Amino acid sequence: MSGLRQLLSLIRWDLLREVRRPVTLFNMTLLAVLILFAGRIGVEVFATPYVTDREVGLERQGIEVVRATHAFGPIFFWIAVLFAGTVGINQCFAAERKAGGLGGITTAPIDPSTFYLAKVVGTWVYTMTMQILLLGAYIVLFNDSMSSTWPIVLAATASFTIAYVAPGVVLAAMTTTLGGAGEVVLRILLFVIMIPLIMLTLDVSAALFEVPGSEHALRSTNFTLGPTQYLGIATCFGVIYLCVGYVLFPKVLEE
Amino acid sequence: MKSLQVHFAIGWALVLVTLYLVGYYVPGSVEGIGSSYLIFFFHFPSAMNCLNLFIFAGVLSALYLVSGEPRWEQLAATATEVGVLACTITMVTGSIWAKAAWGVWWNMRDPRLLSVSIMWLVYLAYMSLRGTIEEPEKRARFSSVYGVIACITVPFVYYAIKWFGVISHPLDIDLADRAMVVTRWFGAFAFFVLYTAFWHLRYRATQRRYAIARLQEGFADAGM
Repeated sequence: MSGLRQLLSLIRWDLLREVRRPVTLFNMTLLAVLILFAGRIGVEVFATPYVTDREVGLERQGIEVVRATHAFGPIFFWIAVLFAGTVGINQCFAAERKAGGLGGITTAPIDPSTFYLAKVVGTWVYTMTMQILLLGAYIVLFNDSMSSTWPIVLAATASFTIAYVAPGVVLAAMTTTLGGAGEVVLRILLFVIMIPLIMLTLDVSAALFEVPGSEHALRSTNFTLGPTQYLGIATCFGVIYLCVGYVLFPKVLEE
Repeated sequence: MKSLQVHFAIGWALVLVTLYLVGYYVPGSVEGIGSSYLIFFFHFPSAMNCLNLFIFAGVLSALYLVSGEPRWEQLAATATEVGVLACTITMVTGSIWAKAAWGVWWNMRDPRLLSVSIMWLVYLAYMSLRGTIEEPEKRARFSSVYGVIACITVPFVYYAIKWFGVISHPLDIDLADRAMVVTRWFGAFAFFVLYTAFWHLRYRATQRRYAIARLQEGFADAGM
């Protein structure tokens, strides 16, 4: 069987397992929506007292809350993606863990790097599915129509997810053998590696989601990245992590 | 043991010479920030050497993964420990300088401060991973894999200012005076020797620890 056919059948196996029993996707989406929901309540609760003034009309109060909602919405969106993403990454070796560890991969007549690529593609697909569902929840909860911004936001989430999943699968293979502490260690290792990209993503979010007034804020902080440049950098991160993961993954499986 | 003592003696002597240069050779103050700039001659060497040590750790981790030779991994782990020490000193001296120059201990909008703190956290996570795994072979392999991935964050520290734009921390310090240039690079060399002495010390200690563990295993196998 050629490498490409092996890769495709591994991806198919992974996705079919998830389609038949979509526990991971359900848990990821639920956690992400809960984070978004809590964020929305937080914005409402904390933004309202500052504008509840008898001299300020109800209309003005509404405008201020909407402004706060638009300003903080993208931040909560990315926090939800980040935390829910770790659930998916942590679960990507669930079947192998149930079967008694990752030893089976090494004895199978498949190149471990092909197995890695299949896991990355599989995890990327269901993380992206979660993010599309999350965008729907975001539109409803944060009252943002996203009529013109959705293509660039989807492109940003797609490139962010590659850069997130590529090192995540390697780290998950490592931490899955650590027992109970593994899940915590996975989050620690993955979050710190992702901080540079998270910083870039949060900085470009105002422009991605077209937050009103963001142009002035960007100028005052010497901001230099635009959405197109961000996509380039995020894709670069993704490609670098993918290459490093492809080379390192077989080393993780060595006994 | 004697080579380690000589290494430390040279390192501390060079640092003392740096202290002398800072006290008597470079101008006592500069326009705008006064004498607070003198901490730069301790801040810069630590910053430069922590980057060096993290790059060494990445290269040594890769060497371990290629060759399987345990000493490369031990050298990588100990380089990381000393690198974290240098990074902590960089952040502490930087923070003291920031308070004197900008009036704040920390500026969350500054890309250089943020990127260095990220690098510090990445390598603390490396130490956390090593502490979590008990089996020596697995610990060596996993921490080497993470060491290579962590090394990718090092260039980010340099490029952060170019990507995000300068907020407070400049890309490079303009040292007009020749005495300042000499002291800066002499300090970098002096601290390089001192940090490598600490690395030497940690590597020796690690080797001893592994030797003791092997002896204990031998006794256990012999039923003693």
